[in-house]
Amino acid sequence: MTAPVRLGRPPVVLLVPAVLASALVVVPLVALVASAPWSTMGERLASSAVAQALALSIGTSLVTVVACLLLGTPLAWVLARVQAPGLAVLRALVTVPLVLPPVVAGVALASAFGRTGLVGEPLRELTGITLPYTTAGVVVAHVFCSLPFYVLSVEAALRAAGEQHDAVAATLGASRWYAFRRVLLPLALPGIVAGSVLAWARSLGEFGATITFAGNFPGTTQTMPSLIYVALQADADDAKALALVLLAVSVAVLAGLRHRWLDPLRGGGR
Amino acid sequence: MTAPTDDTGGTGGSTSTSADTSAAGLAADLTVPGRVTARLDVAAGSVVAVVGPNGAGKSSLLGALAGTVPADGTLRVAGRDLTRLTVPERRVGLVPQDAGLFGHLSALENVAFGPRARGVPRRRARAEAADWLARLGVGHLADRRPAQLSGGQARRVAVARALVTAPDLLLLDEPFAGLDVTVAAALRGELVSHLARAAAERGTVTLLVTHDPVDALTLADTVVVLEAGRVVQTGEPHAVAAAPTSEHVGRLVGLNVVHRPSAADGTGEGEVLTFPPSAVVLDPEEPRSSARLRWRGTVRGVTRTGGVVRVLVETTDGASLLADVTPTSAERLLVSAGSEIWLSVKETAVTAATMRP
Repeated sequence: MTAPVRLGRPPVVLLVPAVLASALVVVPLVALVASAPWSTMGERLASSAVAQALALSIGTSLVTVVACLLLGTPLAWVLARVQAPGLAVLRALVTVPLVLPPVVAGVALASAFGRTGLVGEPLRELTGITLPYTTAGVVVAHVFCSLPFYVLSVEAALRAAGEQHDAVAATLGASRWYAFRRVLLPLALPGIVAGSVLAWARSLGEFGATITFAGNFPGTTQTMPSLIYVALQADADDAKALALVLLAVSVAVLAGLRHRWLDPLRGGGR
Repeated sequence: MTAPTDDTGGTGGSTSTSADTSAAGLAADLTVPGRVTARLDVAAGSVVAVVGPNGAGKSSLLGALAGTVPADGTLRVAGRDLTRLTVPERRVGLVPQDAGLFGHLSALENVAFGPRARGVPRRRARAEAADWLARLGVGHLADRRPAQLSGGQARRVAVARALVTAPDLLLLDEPFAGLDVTVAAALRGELVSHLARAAAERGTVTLLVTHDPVDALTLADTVVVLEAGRVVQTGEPHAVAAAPTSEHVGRLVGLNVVHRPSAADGTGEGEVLTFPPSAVVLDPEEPRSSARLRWRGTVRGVTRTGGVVRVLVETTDGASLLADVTPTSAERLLVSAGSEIWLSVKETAVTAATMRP
């Protein structure tokens, strides 16, 4: 008689909460799909407000990701590689939006970039540019909320890439910029992809800071979440139809990136 | 050919031992605060083995030479003062312990990285890289990623990557660590000729950190023994192996090393005594023989290999000594771990050397 190689039964104390957790995530998603007004879906989504909001959401979230790539990657490098007093404080500050209630973020943005804000007022006087209630304002709000997700992810990836590679690259004659481009960026690519997805998802769902700072004007600042919020107050079925669209977009992007995410070396080297 | 300078602990004052060697070879007087202080002065083309126990400061010394670890002092290589230069300006080749290849680049691209970084056109950089891969016997692996290379192959690629940049100083950190014994032996054999060639062509000084006395004996013409952040011995490999002054090297070459202060109070110039384990006599009681060198101690380990029983004894003054006895006398003496025992050794079996405190 050979005894089966078993570590024992999975404990109930762990199984029950695990099932509960799964249900908590899965049930609302299923409910949304099940209760959506499938028969009238076409006409509900045909309105120009939906097309505008969807285009605005996709556009602003993509611009947000680009802004994170261009601004967040250098910041992540500085946090991962430069040793200077105050950088620990800077890292802490950069992560604040992660935990900040979005409405508070909106108020903070208004204080800085509002018409009478710290930066907003001189900016308006000098250039005539105002951010609140503009599409640019939406992007600023989204970058504010998304950047910490991106920076933390990329900083971790750069740290994992190891300072030994920096040392070896330097002995081979590489400047720090050359080593960054040719060694660090490719090695940190999985972290950059992951950070971009997180930032993009945060941007797509951003509601509180956007509506507080940029308002809810169809065509310029009304993103999908804002439109869903408005629709919910008038017609719950409209809201469900819109929510379903957002769910579909999110799942599609996640599925599209999945294989790259799980195969970190692809897209690196050559 | 070499003129290694014994470290005396002091870091100030650059003693220009011989203008000849410091002009072409390596002249270093470096301190990594809290880690290591070392003065090295070797001729162009030398191969230096740095040995010592873990935590002796070997890696810190390597980093200080490469410029990746902040250090005080001065460093001249091949007639250039590197002290204030950045790492890319130093022309130092580094082969890290695990080869440190860039995981996203093929073997060829890894080797071509240095020339590319220094502005060599892509086509020529690749040709040079292919040439160096072939020289190290891994030309057929040019398209492989590091993850697809064995440990020995990765080391060869890493050596090629360092040598293609024609460094004035080549640093090898434990080049054979973790390799299969036969692989290590083959690589060691090849390195001898590659290092000799680099030395002949460019006067490249090689410094390798190692645990293995075989590395030091087969590759190096100078051995530097580090202990607790200080150079405790330098010399030619055979001289160091024959008369080690540190317990670490003594153990490596299978000799007992004992320090004996000359003055009764333990100050002044002392002596380093070395003797083989076979010269040690074990007794259950204090020996009545004429032997002046005797210790009391506790047996810490007994291993039997072939016809010899090797006994490790920790003496009452804290040293650990090896004794080789026959199985019969081991039985007669009832040697086992924990038993108290006396050791003695005849002066005639001992090599004594004076050492600076």
